Amino acid sequence: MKKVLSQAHSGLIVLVLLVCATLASVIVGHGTASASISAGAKAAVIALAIGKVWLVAWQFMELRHAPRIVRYAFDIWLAIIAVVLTATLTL
Amino acid sequence: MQTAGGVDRRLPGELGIWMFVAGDLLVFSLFFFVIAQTEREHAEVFSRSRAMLDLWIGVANTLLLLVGSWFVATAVELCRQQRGAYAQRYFLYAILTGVAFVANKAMEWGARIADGITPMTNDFFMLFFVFTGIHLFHVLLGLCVLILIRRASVRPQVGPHEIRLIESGATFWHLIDLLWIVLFALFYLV
Repeated sequence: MKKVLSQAHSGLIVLVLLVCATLASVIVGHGTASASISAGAKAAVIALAIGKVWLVAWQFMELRHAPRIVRYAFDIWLAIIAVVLTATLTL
Repeated sequence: MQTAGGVDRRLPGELGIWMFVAGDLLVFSLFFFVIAQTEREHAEVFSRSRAMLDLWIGVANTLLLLVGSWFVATAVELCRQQRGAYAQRYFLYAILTGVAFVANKAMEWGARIADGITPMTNDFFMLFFVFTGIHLFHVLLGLCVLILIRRASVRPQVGPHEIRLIESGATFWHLIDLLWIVLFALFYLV
């Protein structure tokens, strides 16, 4: 039971981080504004989303316990998504 | 597999679910690029159309999936500790977050359609309805999976087979959460 509580505790910390990152991205993104947001703000929103994806994979999908090759493959995929989306939306 | 430190190195669930995850991530990668590229080409249309969305419905749906993922992760750990009675309660909470997501999404689509906005309105709404629709299909499938693994969690004997089944279902649910995080950023924020 102690292990369950410890897992739930670390999961809860990650959940709080994810909620904070979501609210931060809303503040940065100003999604309801009619005017376009700046390139810097777009890059920040993408960076926050990528960070959230990594946290979900690391904690909830348990990639932290996965074989290295799987973790590297996921990190490379995520890095490519980050670069492509940021470049497409800001350059 | 073990590391030098003695920590188990393994993927939760069956190998098949991870192959599905990899395939789905690649398909959605293409979707993400299509959305970003279309925004680049039609920035004004995207900016105007995005202002017609209810940002807070998107925020609420994001929070529902995040909390749901935490419930599922906690339930999986409880199953591993043979505490099925507690686990099924957490699975139920997760199912409720998924149902709330579907209800929220139905309300959002209903409101847009009542405003006369359809997939034919412009490029933004075409992509919005198609890709959030495909994601919604994942959520509905995920809810069926959660009901299935909740049943498995209360079997008298939760052995390695049941644990792998539960882990596989949980992995699929987390994938749904993960995909929504990017869709939310692309459709509601940037």
